Amino acid sequence: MGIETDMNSNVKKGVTYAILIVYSIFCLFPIYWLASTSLKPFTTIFTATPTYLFPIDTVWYQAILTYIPSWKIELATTGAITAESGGWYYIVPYLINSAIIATAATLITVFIAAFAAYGFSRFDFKSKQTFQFMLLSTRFAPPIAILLPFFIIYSHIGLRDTLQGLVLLYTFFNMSIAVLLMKSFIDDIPKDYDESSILDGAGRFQTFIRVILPTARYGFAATAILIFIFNWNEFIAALILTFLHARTLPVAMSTFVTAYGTEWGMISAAGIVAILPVFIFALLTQRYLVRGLTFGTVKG
Amino acid sequence: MRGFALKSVRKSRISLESYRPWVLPVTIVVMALAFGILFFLIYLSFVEFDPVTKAFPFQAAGNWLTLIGDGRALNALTVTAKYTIGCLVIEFFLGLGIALAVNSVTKGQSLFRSIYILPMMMAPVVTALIFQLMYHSQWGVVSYYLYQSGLLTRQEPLLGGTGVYALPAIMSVDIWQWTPFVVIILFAGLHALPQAPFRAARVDGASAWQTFRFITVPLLKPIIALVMLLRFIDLFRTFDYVYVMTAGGPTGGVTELISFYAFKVAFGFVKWGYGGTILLLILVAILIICNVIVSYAKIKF
Repeated sequence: MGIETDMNSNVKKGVTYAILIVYSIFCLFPIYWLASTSLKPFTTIFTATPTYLFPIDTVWYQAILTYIPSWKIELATTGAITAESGGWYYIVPYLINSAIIATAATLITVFIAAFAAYGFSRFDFKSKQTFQFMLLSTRFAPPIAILLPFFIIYSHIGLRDTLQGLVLLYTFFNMSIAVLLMKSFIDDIPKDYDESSILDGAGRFQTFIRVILPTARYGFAATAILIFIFNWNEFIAALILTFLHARTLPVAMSTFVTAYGTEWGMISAAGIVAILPVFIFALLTQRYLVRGLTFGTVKG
Repeated sequence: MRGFALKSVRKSRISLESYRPWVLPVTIVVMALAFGILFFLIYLSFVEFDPVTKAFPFQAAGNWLTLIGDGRALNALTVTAKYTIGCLVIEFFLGLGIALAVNSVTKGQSLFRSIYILPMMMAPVVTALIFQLMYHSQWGVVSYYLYQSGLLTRQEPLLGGTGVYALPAIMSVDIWQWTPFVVIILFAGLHALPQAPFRAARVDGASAWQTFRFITVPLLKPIIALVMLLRFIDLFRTFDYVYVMTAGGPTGGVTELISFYAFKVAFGFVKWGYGGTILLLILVAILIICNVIVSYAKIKF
């Protein structure tokens, strides 16, 4: 009996691990394929049979990160890149746009949201639930429904294709999640902290600055990182509201697929550039990830 | 004690001792924008933009009548329903299964979790692009193995041909990217469950299935409802995959989700009035559905 149960549980354990490993491979394979395509020489990308072993070639990264004339790329890759594509794949301007927009929008969002989060956490008032729910409703709406009015108004007031325009919109997009998430982090701090600070003669504002901010700093940083990731990855708003001047990296990448042929090597290299910072951030803050993705509801 | 402390302070700092200066500025600005958008869409649904004169002539019920007779809008809603329900069901069962598996092992939990958070962190555009390459009819690695195993023919590739596989192909991208989201959150939920009911069940000799059915599921219900709500919201608004991978095609709008159709009407055909009408409809629909789910499942934010 005892041996049998042991064997059963061992088999069960083995099967469970096998499932988890197969699922891990399923999750990792596309990322691996992206990375390997970005390092493959031209001839091994455009083949019917998949290649797993190949001499590493960094030409795609050179092509997207340095402004080199197209004929040089053509020579290096013996590929189909024609003269008109010179500079088209140079992603640095879009990378800078993405970084500026995502950073600015994140900082503004978190800065404003911190005050509201404190208010929602520390005060009880009649319409609290209603307010919170109304804020949250802005998050339920499909972005495209928000974007048509924004597009028309931005066209009138000259905010289309500007960095500020997108920063403003992203601030609006993420305000609700920032408020609710930061509220959940302040909720974790016992109210006694506030009270003893107030008893010591500090005002509410001072208490907020000197007690709440330092205590909740990791939670607030995690909120900022999560919102940065949302902003960094955002596509549809940037697609509709930007043209050339404020184009972000995801939008630029979507233009790399053309009817004349698609430069998969450069797309993959740009993809790796786009996901690398996000992966690092995500792994650093994974402790708070569940809470962040559920707007503070589930404290994983 | 607390009341006394606060009262004595309130005299000197009246303003900051109330919730108003903390909460109201943000709430009012966000709500003003939200209602501004809503009213703008209502306005748009009764007019149409004229690109020549740059005017918005009044249409009375014209846009609404167009919408009722618009077969393409109906198709888009049908495709969206298929896509949303299909992905929701698969992501839920796969996600729950994996979450239970992760929860049952003792070693490597954090490693598996680190792996599973990677897909959902990727920009959906990057995901769409790499899947487009993997599904490519000539160079695609997934296509290659499907051709080799005889499951797919070159005449009917994943993303081209007559488009029979196009919608499942797009769904598979969402399933790849977002099932881990279900896994991570359900795993966190399982991890936080109280242990006492499980001990009691073991003492009472309950089977694994009974324990799961009568203890795990009921305790996990609020989190399941939340995850499904969040997935529903995101599935309903899916745009990026379709925009990059199929643009609604390859034939007859087989992958034309409602967000993509509304995008096409508003920005492709420059029909802001009619586009606004479609958007108003889906906005109101989604807000009602979400409110029903939230109050029915008693999700508390």
